[in-house]
This record gives sequence, C-alpha cells and structure tokens, in this order.
Amino acid sequence: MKKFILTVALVLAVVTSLVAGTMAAYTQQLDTTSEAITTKTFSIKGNMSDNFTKAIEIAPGESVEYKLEIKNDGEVNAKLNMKAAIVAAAGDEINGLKLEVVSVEKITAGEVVDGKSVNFTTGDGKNDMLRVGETAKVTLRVTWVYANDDTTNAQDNADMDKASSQLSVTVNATGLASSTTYAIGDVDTEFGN
Amino acid sequence: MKRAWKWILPAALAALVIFVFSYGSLAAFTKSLSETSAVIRAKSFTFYVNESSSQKQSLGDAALAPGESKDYTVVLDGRSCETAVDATVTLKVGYDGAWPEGLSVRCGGEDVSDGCKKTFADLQSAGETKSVTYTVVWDDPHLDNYEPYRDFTLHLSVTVEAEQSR
Repeated sequence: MKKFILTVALVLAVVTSLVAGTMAAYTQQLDTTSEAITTKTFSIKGNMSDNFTKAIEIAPGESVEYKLEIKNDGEVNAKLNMKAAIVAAAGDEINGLKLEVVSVEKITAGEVVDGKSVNFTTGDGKNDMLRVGETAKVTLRVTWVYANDDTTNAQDNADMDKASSQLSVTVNATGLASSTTYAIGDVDTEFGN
Repeated sequence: MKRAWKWILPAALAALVIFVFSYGSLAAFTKSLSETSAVIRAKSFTFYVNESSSQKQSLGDAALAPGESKDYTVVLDGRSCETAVDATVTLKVGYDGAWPEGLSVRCGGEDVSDGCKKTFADLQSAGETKSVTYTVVWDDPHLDNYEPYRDFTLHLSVTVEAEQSR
C-alpha cells in the first residue's frame, strides 16, 4: 500500500512539473520612465520708468513721478511684498521731500509712514495673488513740500546746498503652491503591444 | 527613570527627523529685487545783486551840494536760478540832522523820501536783468544860508529779498 502511495505521489510530482511548463502564458514586461521632472521657473522682473535712472533736480513746490512695474515672469504664482522709501543718497537727505502713492494695480498700498516710506503687498489668496504673467503697477510721486515760513525756508536753503536723496524700492516675492495637483488619472499613460 | 529615558531619546530623534523633513517641504521659491533711483538734488538758487551774490554790499558814500544829484542803481539778476524767482526791493531812508529844503529821493519819477517797496516777478524766466535806480536830488532852494544843513547825513538802506515763486 505504501509503495502505491509513493508511486502515485512521484507520478503526480512529475506530471505537475510538466504541466507547469505548458500552463505558462505569454508574458511581457514594460518599463516606462517619465519625462524629466524639472523645477518651474520663478522669475520676478522689475521695470522702472526712465527717470528712475536719471538724476533729478527739484525745488520746493515741485514733484517728480516714478512708475514701477513688477512682472511675474515665471511659471509660479507669487505673493509680493514691496517697500518704497525716500532715503539719503549720501550724508544729508532733502528734508522736505514727501512720498505719495498716486495709483496701484494688482497690488495694495499701505499707509505712507512719515511721508517717507510705504509698504505694498499682494495677497496669497486665489483672487489677490500675482498670477503668472501678471504685472503689479505702482505710481509714486515725490514732492518737495512748499512752505513759506522761517524754519522751513532755513531748512530748504540748507538742503539746497548739500543734501540729496534717492528713492529705494525693495521687492520680496514668494512662490505660492500651485492650485493644480497631478493625480494618477491626470497622467496620460499608454501601453502599446 | 531608566524607563523614561527609553522613550525620551527615540521621541527626540523622531521629532528631529520630522522637523528636518518639514523644514524642507515648507521652503518655497523666493526672489528679491532691490532698486535705487538716481540721485534727487535741489535746483540751484543763486541770485545776483549788482553782479554779486554776497549778502552785504556798500553802494558808496557821496557828498552833495545844492543843485547836484546822485544815482544809486540796484541790478537784479535771477538768471542763474533754476526756478522762477520774485524779488522784492525795499528802500529805507534815515537821516541825521535837519532835512535840507529841496532834497528828495526819487525812483521812477516818484518821490520815495519816506522809503518804498517794489516787487519784480518771475525774474528767471524773463531772461534779463531788472534794475532800480534811486536818485538823491538836491534841488537848489537858493537860500542865503545853508549852514543849518552842514551836519546832515542821509542813510539809504536797500534790501533785496529773492524768493522762489510758486
């Protein structure tokens, strides 16, 4: 009896090993590699009006306007923080100069502090961020305030001889997370034969 | 106590690892831009009186006899100012002694013996100088005796105030 069982088991083992070969189906292995994943560009470009690079001469009662444009030139939406300020060029500054915001586009102006500096910002929300391709525009006016009193006249006369100022603009841009995320379903996959 | 350390060390290591990875994932693209304009300077404002910009000038002394006169001219030149400029010329007259009969100070045909003030507007854009002439005239009264006027002295003071016009 034992012999019979052993024999049957051996036969089954042989048959199974043979069948395994014949049961194999067509198989194919596909190795796919995505295209290179690279970083999006993040670029902010400033464009100032021509007079920004020209020396300006001004007298009490006169003013000069500067137009500033900050373009989101990259591929990522951005939040901008910007500061404009009248600063001394070297040594004494022209005391009577006052900064005003004439107009803004795609950016919000804060309060002018002491007539000398002002902060601007875009939001980081869907509707107030600086989107790709958009340009934030700011027009600023620098005025030498005219006042005809002894104190101011003395200060203006002193500034006339030796003072000089500049307009300083600083922009900090932060890239915002994209509103588009790629799910598997978004990937266009095709397996050929 | 030994048991506590068994937990504290792994927990601290885990926190550190999480922090390091979080820091990396929180980083975003950033870009800064900084621009400074060219210099803003004051326009020049130099006004000349009688071809001089000094604060004080002497128009000179004179001694007059009856029938004589003396002109004092003040030339106003605002052409070197880079802004529009108005100038106000003020004449003050003072004297010691007895005012002589027939003596007068005149300007533009008017008697200004008590002083006067005259304003000249927009001297820069006019592109030319302006002048004011004060004339001290002693019309001879043909008196027999001029001795009472021997110690008479006339003081003329002219102030020019140049001011940037709005």
